[in-house]
Amino acid sequence: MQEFFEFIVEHADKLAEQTLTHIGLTFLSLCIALIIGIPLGVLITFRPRIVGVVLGSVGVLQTIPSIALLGFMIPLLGIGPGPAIVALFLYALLPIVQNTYVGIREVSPALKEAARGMGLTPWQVLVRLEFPLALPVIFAGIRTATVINVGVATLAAYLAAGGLGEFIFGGIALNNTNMILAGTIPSALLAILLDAGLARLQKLRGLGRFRVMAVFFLLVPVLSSFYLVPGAGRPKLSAGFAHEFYGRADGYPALLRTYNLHLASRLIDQNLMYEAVRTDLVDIISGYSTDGRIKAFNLRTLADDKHAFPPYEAALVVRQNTLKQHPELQPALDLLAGQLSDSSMTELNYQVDHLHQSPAAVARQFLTSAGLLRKPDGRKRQGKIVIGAMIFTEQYILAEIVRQLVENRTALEVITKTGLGGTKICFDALIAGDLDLYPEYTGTGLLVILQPPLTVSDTLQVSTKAVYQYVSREFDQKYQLSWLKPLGFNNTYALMMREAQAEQLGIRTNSELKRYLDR
Amino acid sequence: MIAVRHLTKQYPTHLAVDDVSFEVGARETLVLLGTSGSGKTTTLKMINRLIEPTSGVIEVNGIAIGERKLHELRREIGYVIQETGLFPHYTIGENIALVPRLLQWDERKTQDRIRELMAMLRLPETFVKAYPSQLSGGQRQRVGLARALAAQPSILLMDEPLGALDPVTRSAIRREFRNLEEIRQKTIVLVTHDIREAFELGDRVALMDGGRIQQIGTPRELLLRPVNEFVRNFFADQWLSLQLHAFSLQDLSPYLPDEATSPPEARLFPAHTQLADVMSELSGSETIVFQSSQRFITIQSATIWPALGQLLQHQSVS
Repeated sequence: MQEFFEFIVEHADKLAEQTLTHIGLTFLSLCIALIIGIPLGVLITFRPRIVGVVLGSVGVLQTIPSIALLGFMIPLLGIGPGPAIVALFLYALLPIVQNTYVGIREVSPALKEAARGMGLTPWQVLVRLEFPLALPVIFAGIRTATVINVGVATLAAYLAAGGLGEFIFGGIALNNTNMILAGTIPSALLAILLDAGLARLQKLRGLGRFRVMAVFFLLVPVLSSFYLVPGAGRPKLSAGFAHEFYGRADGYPALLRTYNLHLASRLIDQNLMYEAVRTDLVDIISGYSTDGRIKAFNLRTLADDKHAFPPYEAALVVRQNTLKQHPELQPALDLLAGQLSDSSMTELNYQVDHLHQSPAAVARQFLTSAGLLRKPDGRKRQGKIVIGAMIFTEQYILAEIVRQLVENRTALEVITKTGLGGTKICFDALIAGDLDLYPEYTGTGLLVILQPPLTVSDTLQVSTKAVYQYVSREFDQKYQLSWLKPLGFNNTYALMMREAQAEQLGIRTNSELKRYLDR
Repeated sequence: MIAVRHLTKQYPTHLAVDDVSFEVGARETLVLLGTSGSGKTTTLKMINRLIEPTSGVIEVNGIAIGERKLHELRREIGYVIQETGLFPHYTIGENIALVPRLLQWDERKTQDRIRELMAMLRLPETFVKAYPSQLSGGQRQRVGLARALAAQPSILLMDEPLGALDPVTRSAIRREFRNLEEIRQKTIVLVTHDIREAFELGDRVALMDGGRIQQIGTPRELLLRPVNEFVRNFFADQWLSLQLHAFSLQDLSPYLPDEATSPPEARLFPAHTQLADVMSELSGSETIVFQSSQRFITIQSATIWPALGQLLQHQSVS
């Protein structure tokens, strides 16, 4: 509990910014839904023939799972606040259109006839009679839409649109409960407060109700503008960080410590980060130095001249029990030592990410050209091992390489469990025996799992070899896990910018970035 | 004022109004009487074009209504319906002012008119700011009437205006309406299923059934000279009490004794008073008096019935 409050206090600025963004997203989409939904609801009362079609289509939108709706937005509209607001707007549409229609329909036909009989034009009947009387029902729809939007807006973080979802996604990626709660509790409170407030409004009687509802309609655009507030004081360059990078000791905190580099950052899903920098949504991202998209999107990797990020040599981490049980395993795995350089790993990633080849095909090509595969001998499968892989391309490829190699060289059956959320999850599964091995990076092992005192890690970080030796010794003693020989490449964190912009601003290293921002 | 010729309304499933023709003169009240489904309400709603006829012509003040702008026509015709159709979110004042404001009356004139109507219909002035839900059924009905009268239309269409009220309130309001000078100046078409109401309020009554007018005439004509079995049967149940609505004191005068001077203690009634009203005013053995061609005629509840008997006998002979 105390840790939770510490987290809140520590991230108060970020939290306030996310809350404002969240309110902004909710009301901006609501505002659009009102502008379009209410007239649409009114229109279909005049055109009974299209009622079914209209209510049916907005109803279908509502049945699409919210995460899928946001997912559809990526190929259609890309990422950023625009697509997120479109998705939220589509979600808010049904309750508003439906309640407007029902509210107007439910006004007593006798009253409508009396109004017409007295000589009101259809427009006057709508404005003077139907709309005011339908208002409580319409309002109930707005209330539903608002509460739905507060909830769904947490998913906007997935599209790099900000909001309280940033901490929720970050917390899930880092397996950090406090971080999840820091996003969940404010958004739940926001939903409760808005629901209660709007419920009170709905219960008001008489003339007061119309006044307060009018105030509410004026308030919606005002609340929408909250989205712009955090951006008002935006510095020269904006950053988009993966959740893991933002929360991990060797990520953004390390950057702060070493360079004192303060960046206005947004938390973005790591798979969308590259897209965000490519489409100018942000200027700097926290990429991985072997990612295929560096090549594809023409990005510049800034040199880490003060060694803020520890080396991240890739190697397989294996349970020692597994190695004992299957002695034929280690010789097979050792064949991979030193086989993958930085550039060859980047190339493999590029083939999967950009040329859309399957990880299995890319892995087979690599193993064949490296001459590591023997002719299949058709032995019967005996025993099995489980390989884990985290949720990014490189890990999928590595898991495939290991699977194909082991199945080629031994009689073992290999099961891959890919798409795991992060280091913590893989490591815990390995300890629990749910996994037998997974590809890990030395720096991550050091800072996420071992977490030595700063003095120790700072001295180690200067040397790639020293880190490898330290983690393999500690893992061996503490957890009975073996680090096999490094695969050869170093997939470290790196700040990246669009090549053209970096060239124009003359930024090649992290120190130069710092100097540029301070200027 | 209103002329209806060969009016027909055909719905996909049934014929609602079948070749109906009638005329309503200035300051006359015509009652469309009939059971539900007889076509009376459909006929009424065709007059202000809430329903469009399949064929036939309706003229108001000599102009076919199809040639008028819809909302202009309606604003010239007062419309009163069952349950009043008051806007629940408007105050009483705003409800009454609805049509004057549509016609963009000067605000002072509108306010004066609201006060005038509320005084006329005996609604307390404090009600101006009240909402319809705060009023009783009878009060709401008066507001409904005030709203219909507000813009001083020469024509009033009333669709079961008292249908939602209990019988006691109904007959009280009916009597009130009848005695209002402003209402007597209007040309009225009123729809009801209540025979008494028809006889009490109508100068003429059109009895409808199956979409056709079975007979149109004064209450007395319908009662004493029905044209067919349907009309006869329709009034059979209440035949006796309806006579009290069909005849006035004047009609009885030939069959009553007369005196040269008015008895000092007796109340004086106008000669055109309906017998029904006389009956409800008379208590016990009280004697009242009315004047007919310079004669004073006294009458008691005990002498009404014999006189009426002679009158009817005389009517059927002639």
